Amino acid sequence: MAKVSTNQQLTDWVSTYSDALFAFAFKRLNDRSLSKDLIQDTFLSAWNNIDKFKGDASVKTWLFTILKNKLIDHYRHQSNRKVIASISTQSNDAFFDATDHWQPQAYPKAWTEGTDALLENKAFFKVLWHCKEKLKSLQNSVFTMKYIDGFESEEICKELELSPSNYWILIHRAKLQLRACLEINWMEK
Amino acid sequence: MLSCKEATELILKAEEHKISVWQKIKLWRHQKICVLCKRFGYQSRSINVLVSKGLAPELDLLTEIEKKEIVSYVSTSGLARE
Repeated sequence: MAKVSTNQQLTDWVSTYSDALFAFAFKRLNDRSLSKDLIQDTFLSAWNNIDKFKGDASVKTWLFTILKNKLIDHYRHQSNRKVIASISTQSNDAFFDATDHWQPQAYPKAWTEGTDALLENKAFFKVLWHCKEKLKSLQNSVFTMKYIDGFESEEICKELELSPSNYWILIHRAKLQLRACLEINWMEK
Repeated sequence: MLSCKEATELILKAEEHKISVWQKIKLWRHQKICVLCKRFGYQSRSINVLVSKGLAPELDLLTEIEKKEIVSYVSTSGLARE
């Protein structure tokens, strides 16, 4: 491939790939300025490591690989000893009573709309992404890695240094909260 | 008999095929009599599909000015290139 070392080539990269990279990051982070920072760092890494780019993958694939690594760094940043230590001390009391059965106010109600009807509904997704944003940061990262990136639970535990039992507590809590938030803010309105 | 807390956790594990046959039987028996957990399971699987296949959050694309900022940031902070 041609040597990419001039400002013009950098400008070309940014104008060709930044929108796709930005949309990819934004879907996962739902934070404009953080997404922009990660894109900027992605181009910086690419620029600094251009000599290592062999050209056997496309530039686009290469940039996405860098971005995905930056995203994992970001998720990992949400997982530190202090946060992990606090996982087991939180409870699901809002959902379950002393005998571990549903609290009456948390009873899941039947949803009137099915999955297919919701898939293209812009207003619904506004609520869904808002609900996801309200998850605690580590829950949100685990949830994103599992349901958006499609990582296996073993990979998530390894990357975030979580025990399987903590992983299941986080997923369980994230799902309970997201479900309840959707019900209150969408299904009941 | 499983509690609802245990049942909902097993529902999530079952989505990843991470439960034993015995757990599967216990969960099946629980859901036969507990409409709430059955609903939770159904809605949980619906959420999985919605999150992975549905619309992305709406975003304002990067402006031309922001793109220029990225270029200038990279060319000033990055390694010098000819």
